[in-house]
Amino acid sequence: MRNKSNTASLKMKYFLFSIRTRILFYFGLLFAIILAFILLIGMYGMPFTDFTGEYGQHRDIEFQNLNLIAELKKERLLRWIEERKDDARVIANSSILNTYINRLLLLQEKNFYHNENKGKSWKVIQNEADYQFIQQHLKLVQSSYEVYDKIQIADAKMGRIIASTHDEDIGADVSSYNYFIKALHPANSEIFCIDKDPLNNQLKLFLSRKCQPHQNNAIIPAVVIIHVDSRDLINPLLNTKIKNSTTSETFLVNEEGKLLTALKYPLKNNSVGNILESEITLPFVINAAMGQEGITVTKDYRGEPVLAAYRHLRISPDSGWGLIVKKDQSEIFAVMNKDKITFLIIGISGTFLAFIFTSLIANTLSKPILHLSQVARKIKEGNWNIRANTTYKGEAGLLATTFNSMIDRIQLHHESLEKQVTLRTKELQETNDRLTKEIEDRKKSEDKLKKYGMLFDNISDLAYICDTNGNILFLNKAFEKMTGRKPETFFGKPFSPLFDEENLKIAVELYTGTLQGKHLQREVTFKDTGIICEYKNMPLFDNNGQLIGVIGVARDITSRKASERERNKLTKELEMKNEELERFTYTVSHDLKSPLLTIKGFLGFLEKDLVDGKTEQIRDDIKRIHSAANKMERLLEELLELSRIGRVVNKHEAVSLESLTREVLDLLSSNISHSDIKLLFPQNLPLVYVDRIRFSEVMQNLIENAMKYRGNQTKPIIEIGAKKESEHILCYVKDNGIGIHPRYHDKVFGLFERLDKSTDGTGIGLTIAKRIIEIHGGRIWLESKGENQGCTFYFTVPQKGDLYGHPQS
Amino acid sequence: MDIRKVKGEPLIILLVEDNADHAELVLRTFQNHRIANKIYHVSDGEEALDYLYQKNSFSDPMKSPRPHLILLDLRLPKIDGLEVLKEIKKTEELKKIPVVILTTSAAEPDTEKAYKHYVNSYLVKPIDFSKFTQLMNDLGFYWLGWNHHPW
Repeated sequence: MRNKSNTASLKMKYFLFSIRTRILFYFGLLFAIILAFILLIGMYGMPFTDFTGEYGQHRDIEFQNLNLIAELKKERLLRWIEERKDDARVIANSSILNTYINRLLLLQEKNFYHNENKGKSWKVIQNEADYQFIQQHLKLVQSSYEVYDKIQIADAKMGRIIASTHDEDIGADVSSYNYFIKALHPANSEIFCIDKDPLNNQLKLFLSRKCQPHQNNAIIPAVVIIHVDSRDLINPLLNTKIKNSTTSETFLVNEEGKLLTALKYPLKNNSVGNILESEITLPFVINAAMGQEGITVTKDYRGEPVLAAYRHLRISPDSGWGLIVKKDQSEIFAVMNKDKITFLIIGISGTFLAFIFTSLIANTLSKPILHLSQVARKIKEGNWNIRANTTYKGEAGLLATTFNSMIDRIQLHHESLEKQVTLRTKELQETNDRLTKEIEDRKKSEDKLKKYGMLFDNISDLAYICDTNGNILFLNKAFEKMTGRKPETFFGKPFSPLFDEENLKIAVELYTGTLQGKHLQREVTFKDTGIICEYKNMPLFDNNGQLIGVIGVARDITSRKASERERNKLTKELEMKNEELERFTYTVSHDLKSPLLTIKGFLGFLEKDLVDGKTEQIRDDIKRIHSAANKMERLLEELLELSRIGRVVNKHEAVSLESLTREVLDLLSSNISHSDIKLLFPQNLPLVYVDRIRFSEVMQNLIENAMKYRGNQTKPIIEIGAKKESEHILCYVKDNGIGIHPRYHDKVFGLFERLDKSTDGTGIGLTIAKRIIEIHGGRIWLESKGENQGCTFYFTVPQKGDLYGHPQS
Repeated sequence: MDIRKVKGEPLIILLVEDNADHAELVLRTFQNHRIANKIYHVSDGEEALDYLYQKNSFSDPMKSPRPHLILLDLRLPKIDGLEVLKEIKKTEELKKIPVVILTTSAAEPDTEKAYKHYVNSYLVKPIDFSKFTQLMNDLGFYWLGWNHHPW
């Protein structure tokens, strides 16, 4: 149900918004609007142009007509008014009549004021000959014009009718009526006004004028009052009729809007407009009465729309009438209404035709599109073989062809895409299969690895396997031995926590390098345990040559390293000794050769001198030979002594440095006393563990040197001291003698080196001292700021027996 | 050899030798063969440099004229012969003076070192007296006779 209604609403929607419907709708609308415009412009005119349209033209013509009529009627009315005024003037200005009136007035005054019987007095007047005359005269006027009801003469002073065409009027008081009051106004001449007849209170149109026989006479004796028959007014109006018009009407109002002529139609409240009584207060009517003229499109007293022309008729300086000529619009535009219907019919039929045409156009336009959309829908449903009909001409055909080629391309693309998708799906499947297999293989190989790993358990070195993600796959039992932790707890975990920060760098380098296919080897020192391990890494491949991890062995090389270090130290020492030996040999050969050369040379001279008989020279020659031989003997002895130091070692024992120093001083005491040398040494010198005899030789040599090289020092001081240091005892012998230039500090310990040839000796003493100290595992050196700055010899001796100093059996 | 002598130009040798006996041997040999008319003898390296730079006890130029030849022993107290050689050869105003090493040592390292520091000749004192005399003779003839000096 819902579906159906849905499809129905869809169809409805489709229908409403289809191109066809839209074209129909919009074209129809457009046509209707254009038609309406043309019609409206035709009827009502073009805005902003002079073309006023049918309505305008009609209106203009009608206005012209109305104007013309109004003008005509105005002319006639004015003439009528002038005639009436002339009548009044003729009467008022008649000198004969005035003479009679004056006489009558005098008579009447006499009678009226002196006769107490007022009622009778008017009768008296009527019988007067003057009155008779006046009445005859007035009647004559009335009969000659036939448009006046009555003609009366009123006493200007009293306001009483003194003469009339009708006797019953005599004596009537008109002093309070407009026509009387206004007529007496000096500015006014003839007066038209609507007022009441004092006899019967009926409204009437009065024409009044003051009697003024002489222009400059200020005394106005009487007023002529003429009762105008208002029907007479219609005559000038009736004469012209608007052709074929049923609603045209003319009426006249005074300045108060009171009707002067009858109306054609009843008023709004359905009452008949009474002449002289009903008021019409429409603005244009009042305006006309007040002095304006013109035409207007307006509503009349019935509320009907009319066209009207209005005119002003000036009666007196302060009063006038309004003339209205009007015609109903309904009559004027009746013809137009007929035309309207015709236009409507034409419009509707035109629109209908337009609909038919646009529908045809829409069909032609939408048909190929519909066709194309049908084709497209079918293609959408999967029917790729269908194509659009290309037999359409023009753009539709082109569109169909383009559509077809587009479909061709899409089909092609679609097919290739499908092919690609199939291909890619297949590839994906393959990749998936391969990956699955790889994962399985990996798992298998990992299992295998673990199995192989078991083989390593019996190896004393640490063996390990890591995967490509830095996780430990296997560690052998040696790991437990090395670290005390179970290897299994690290399986599947990263190797990084096994190293400290510094070593981790090396481990990562090693690992990443191996993953790049290198065989690497690095040493890692574990600071906490002091263990040094040598890591050897290799990349690990599976059967397919795929890199699956890193395999390696770590060997504890701590002890090997230690022995290596030891060996290096020994080698270096040996090298030093060799060098020393070489130097020694060279020195010995040089220094032994030296006296030999002297001996041989002077023997040669001796021979010569003997031949020449130079006895003086002979003695010198022999002396030189002798001393050279002696020197050679001494050198040989000392060399022997030096060689003995290394070979023959006495028992090492704890020796008091103090007592030993005293013994040495005893040996040298004779020299000290002679030289006035001051000796300083503290009482609590420590114990040293040495070869007593040799060590006393060192002390003796150093103290002797200090004495020997005291130079010109007047207060020679020799200070002996010792202090315990962490591993040995540091001893020193300090003097304030000639000192040694820093550049000779090493040289003085060399074999047969002598800085000062003037003193006695071969230059072996310090060499021997150095040798002895070295045999004891100590070191000897000197400090001196330079010549004549004194000199301090330092040497270290062991506190207890050590490597070289153990007593030998 | 006698041209200079005729001209009255003294030929000067600086002998650097610590061993007084050896110095006497050299001097006597030269005297016997009238090789040089002036030999200055210093007994260690320091003295040798003082002489050449005319410092300390040799500050008087008359006592330390520039030599035409330096005979230098290698084993000297204080400043070693090689050090003296190095000093001479790196000093602009001294490096042109011919230096001949005269030593008892025939050790190879010494020879090499000496030549490395631009020594002009390296001689080993023969133990045999006649050979020693011959060497001194030849030395005198060569360096003071045949050899042309740069100044």
